Amino acid sequence: MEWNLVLPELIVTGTGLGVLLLDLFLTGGGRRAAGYTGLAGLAAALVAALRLMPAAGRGELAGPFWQGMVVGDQFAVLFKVLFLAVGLVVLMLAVDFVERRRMPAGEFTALILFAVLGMMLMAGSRDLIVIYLGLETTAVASYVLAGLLRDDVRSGEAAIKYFLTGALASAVILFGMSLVFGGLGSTGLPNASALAEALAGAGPSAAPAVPSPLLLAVGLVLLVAGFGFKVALVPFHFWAPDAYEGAPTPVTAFFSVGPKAAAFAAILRVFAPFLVMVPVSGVEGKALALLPSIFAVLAVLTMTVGNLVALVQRNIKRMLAYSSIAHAGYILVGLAVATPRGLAAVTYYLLAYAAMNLGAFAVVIWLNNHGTGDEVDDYVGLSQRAPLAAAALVVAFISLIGIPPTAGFFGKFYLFMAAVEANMAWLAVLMVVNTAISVGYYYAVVRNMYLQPAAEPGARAAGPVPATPLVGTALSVTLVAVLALGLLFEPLARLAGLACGGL
Amino acid sequence: MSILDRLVLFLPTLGFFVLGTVILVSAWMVGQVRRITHAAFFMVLAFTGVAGVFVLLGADFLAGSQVLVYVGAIAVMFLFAIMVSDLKELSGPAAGSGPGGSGSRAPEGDGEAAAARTAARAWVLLAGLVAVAFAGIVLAAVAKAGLPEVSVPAASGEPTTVLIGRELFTKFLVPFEVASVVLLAALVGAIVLAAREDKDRGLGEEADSGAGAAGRRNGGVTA
Amino acid sequence: MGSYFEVLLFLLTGVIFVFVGLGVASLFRPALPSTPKQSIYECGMRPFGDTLGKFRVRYYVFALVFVVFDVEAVFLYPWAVVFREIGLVGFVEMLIFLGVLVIGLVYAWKKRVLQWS
Repeated sequence: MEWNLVLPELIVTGTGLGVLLLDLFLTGGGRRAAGYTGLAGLAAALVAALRLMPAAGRGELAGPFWQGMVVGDQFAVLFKVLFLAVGLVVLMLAVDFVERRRMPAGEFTALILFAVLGMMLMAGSRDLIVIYLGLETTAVASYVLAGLLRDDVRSGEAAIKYFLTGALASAVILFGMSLVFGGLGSTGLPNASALAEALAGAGPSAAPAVPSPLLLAVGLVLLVAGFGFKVALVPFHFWAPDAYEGAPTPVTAFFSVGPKAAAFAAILRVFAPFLVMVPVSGVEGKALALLPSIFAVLAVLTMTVGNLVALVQRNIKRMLAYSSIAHAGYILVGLAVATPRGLAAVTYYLLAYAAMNLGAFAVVIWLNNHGTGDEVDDYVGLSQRAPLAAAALVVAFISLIGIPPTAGFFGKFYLFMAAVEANMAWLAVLMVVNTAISVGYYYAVVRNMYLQPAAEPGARAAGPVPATPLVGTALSVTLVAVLALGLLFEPLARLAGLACGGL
Repeated sequence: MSILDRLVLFLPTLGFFVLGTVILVSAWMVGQVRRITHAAFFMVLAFTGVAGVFVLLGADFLAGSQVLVYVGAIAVMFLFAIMVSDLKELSGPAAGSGPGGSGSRAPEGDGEAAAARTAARAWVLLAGLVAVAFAGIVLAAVAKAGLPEVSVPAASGEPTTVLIGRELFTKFLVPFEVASVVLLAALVGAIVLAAREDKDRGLGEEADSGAGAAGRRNGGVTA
Repeated sequence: MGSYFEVLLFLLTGVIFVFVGLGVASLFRPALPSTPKQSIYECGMRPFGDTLGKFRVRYYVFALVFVVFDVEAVFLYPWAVVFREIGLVGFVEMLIFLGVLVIGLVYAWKKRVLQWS
């Protein structure tokens, strides 16, 4: 069982190493070979992860494996499946792009695989050291991925900005983790029930199981700031637009859903026990009880600033960067309500967001592969030139706005209900207001595509845009997922609830 | 208890304050000195001070690693990074007048430059205030919470290297193996990004992984 | 902690030795400065170029490869110390760790990073 549990990680690592070597020794074999190998590895790992699902559901994998460094609860397996699927779609989107822009294919594929490995470790452990190492694996690979467009200065700028803020965030996270370690007395995180017991035992009679709850609280606040950098919450978001705009587009797509979802998984893993636990008395209890309020403030700031600034963006990657910030704000609502329902809503929203955002980026990459620029004005008259791409983008945007029957709607609905149930209706209302604001910038693109005639047919229009099989498949997968996640809302929400129940 | 015994007992405390002062002052100087090479050496001094603190804590293996990795390797990496960057470009046109340019005085700016300097100063002040407030909160919380009692593993009499080795290769096996992947990713990333720089300057090797082996052989630099 | 006291003594002795030696020597040696004596000496060559010159970025990669393998060496110490205790399992663990890093070395090699051109 120990080996089965880490089989997806082992496959991903092995493929990553293999791709590196293969690329070194088989240089004549075409640039696409690396991408295909990576796809095969990710698919195999996905199968291995899916096979763990039933056992995880029965709770057979919960026990401490690998000296407590790896857990196989439903939460871990669910997120591993998500990360592998994200990696698979991103790699499918990237193969043509990498070839066309003459990026180093072997390194690109290997780094994507290493980043996915790090993401899986972040979701699949209760130990702060493993979570940190996973974070760092993903981060190191991401910094390089951002800079892989060798002939583009902005790509280098994206890499350096991402690196500097990422290094700062890592330092803050490490400092926070050291305080949490001091407060807990161990690098292993408790789950909610164990934590409640430990904190209850902190009275004068029993031996203190949690040596210092106040230290713990300070450490957790630092972790909020550190993870806030990683998922680009306002006011820790300033790096994101530049990094997203300059990075190669498939990498941008990856950043906006992969490392972000992984950081949220780590946030859930670290904070969930403290959010749903029994309240503690005294100054320690007050300090810990502040956490939901901090999340609420960050949620309001993040979604409002993200949406307002997105309104004035002219570059579609930048616009999607701010949209991604705004969505992180919505997700925070689930943490601010601090109920099991809220945590489940966060998990469901992460699945939905991955599908719809990758769908939007799939269209951007598809068009970019055929010479369409990344400015919003480049999309003028797209419905005549590429009706399929335009329609696909509309579907993705409908879901990003949150219109039924798409996954985006159900995600927001679930968060909304969780907020209302927890007597935080004001937060729910702010979410709706923000959704209304967001219609503005999504609609601007749709209007360009459908209502504006292509001004100069020869100048901007790059002719018809046939989809290559890989991009076409990836786009279809994401759009089907956008609809399927919506239709399967009931069972998926239950699964999310079960997964978060074990946190 | 004789005077000498008291003195020996007091030494670690004294050492901590001496080292702490060295670390703080040299860290401050890193940001204050004008020559970046001097800044790097002040950083090395700070690293060394940290190694000293590890010694005081009885963590001799960590102290050794600190010297080996930070004072040795990381410092060398920083100096190399300074070497390969264009310092004349970095220190700006004001300081670019010949050797030792970074030490020359900045010229009197016109109104615009002065305004920019004021704005920069305001930001520095704001950052300083945030830093002080933050440090205050953390220190107050730590002081209020009190540090938990931790048993010192070294008290068992075994060298810390043995204790660390035992933990690292049994309990922390998974993190240990993951560390190798992090190191590999960093290595590959640095090479792939540096190769691009080299190519930009027109002296570099063939950085394009797509070219055939023969092309790569001929693409090497002969100059 | 006691053993560090001796280290401290060594350190002090070393520092004192240098300053006493130089100080005493300065009392006795003749001082006759001249222009060639005071010029900058660099491996017997006349220094040329600018001290702030830009070196090739390739040197940086050398430094980075050095850092990576330095960190690896740090891991080798505790491994060697407990090697008897952890036995074959520990051997395999380290083999995997080194194997991954050797791939990095092979990569650097094949990319001609280690070649002095």
